[in-house]
Amino acid sequence: MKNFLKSAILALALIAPAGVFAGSSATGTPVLPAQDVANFADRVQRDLAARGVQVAIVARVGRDPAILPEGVNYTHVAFWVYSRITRADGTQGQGYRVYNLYQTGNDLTRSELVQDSPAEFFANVHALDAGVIIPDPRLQRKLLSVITSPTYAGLHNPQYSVLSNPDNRQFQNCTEHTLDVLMAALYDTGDPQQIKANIAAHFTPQPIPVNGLQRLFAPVASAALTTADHDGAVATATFGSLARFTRQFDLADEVYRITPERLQRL
Amino acid sequence: MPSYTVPFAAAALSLVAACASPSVQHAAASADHSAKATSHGVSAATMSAATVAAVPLTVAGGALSITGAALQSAGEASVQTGTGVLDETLVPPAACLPADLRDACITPDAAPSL
Repeated sequence: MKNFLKSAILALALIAPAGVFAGSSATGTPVLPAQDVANFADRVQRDLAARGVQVAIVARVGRDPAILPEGVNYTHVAFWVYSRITRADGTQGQGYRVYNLYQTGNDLTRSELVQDSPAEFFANVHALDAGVIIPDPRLQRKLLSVITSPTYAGLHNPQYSVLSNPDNRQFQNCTEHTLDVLMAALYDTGDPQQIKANIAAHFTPQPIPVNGLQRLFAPVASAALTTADHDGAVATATFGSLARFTRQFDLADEVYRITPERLQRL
Repeated sequence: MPSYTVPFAAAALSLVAACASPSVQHAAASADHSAKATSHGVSAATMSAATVAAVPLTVAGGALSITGAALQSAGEASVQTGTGVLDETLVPPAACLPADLRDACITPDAAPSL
């Protein structure tokens, strides 16, 4: 018991201050120059447009890559949808809108669906590096149909967990919502129970190495780190696991990484 | 010091802002810039301040273009996206309530194919 308490105190000492830091990441200062971010955002959307892509799945590096867990290269995933855009000043254009599930600012255990621009999507990234999945054109059409229907919001669960288990509906994170929408498109259903059954049967999430005691302390750092929805090993949906899923079932035209300098097929 | 604490703290922190909006990452006080998207029934998604409407386009084949207001500017990258009040339509459907979280009794379909 004494050792347990000692461990608990040490864990609190390590996690609590750092958790505060994480919640206020970068303390209001963008990590990379805004012009570089805007240029990269345009590079990504021009690349997609040149390929004639209507709907893509795009991931960003929202944390220092050096501290990402093994097997995790990107931290946030969203749909990019080719759209006609009208700004508040009346100007119009054609380009991509990003359909996100974001944690809410005042309660990190909740999320909301938010559209933003490619530049906003990449604001505060730690690297100009995006993961891209271009679905098969037939799947793009199905995805567009779901995204523009009430099913898109109907599949949103605002109970947020970073390590959400994609096999059940207790919590959801951005990648899991993307996966749920993907499954809705593939199976032409908005039934969340059927979608979860299909995910459990056919999708392999990314294992995240945390042992039992570590899981116990997870809620200390942030309630959004709960693993209460996992029975055994912790595994969650990530860009990498989405990429593997789309390749396994031949659902994607391309899966690649894009940086300012190059494209790399994944 | 227990060997597990440091790597776990690092792993946890690396993911804690995983789905954070720019405003969450900044943790700055932001006004509610959100506006509902009304096109194609996307009523449950809030939008950032700079855009008042975005209508998905259906196009057939060939390269697309990025034009006009869709081009990104440096200023836009620092826009604080809305942390607006949750729309009532975001409340999960009854099927998502805790008493019905387990889906083990549902028979899965065959593997996905196009």
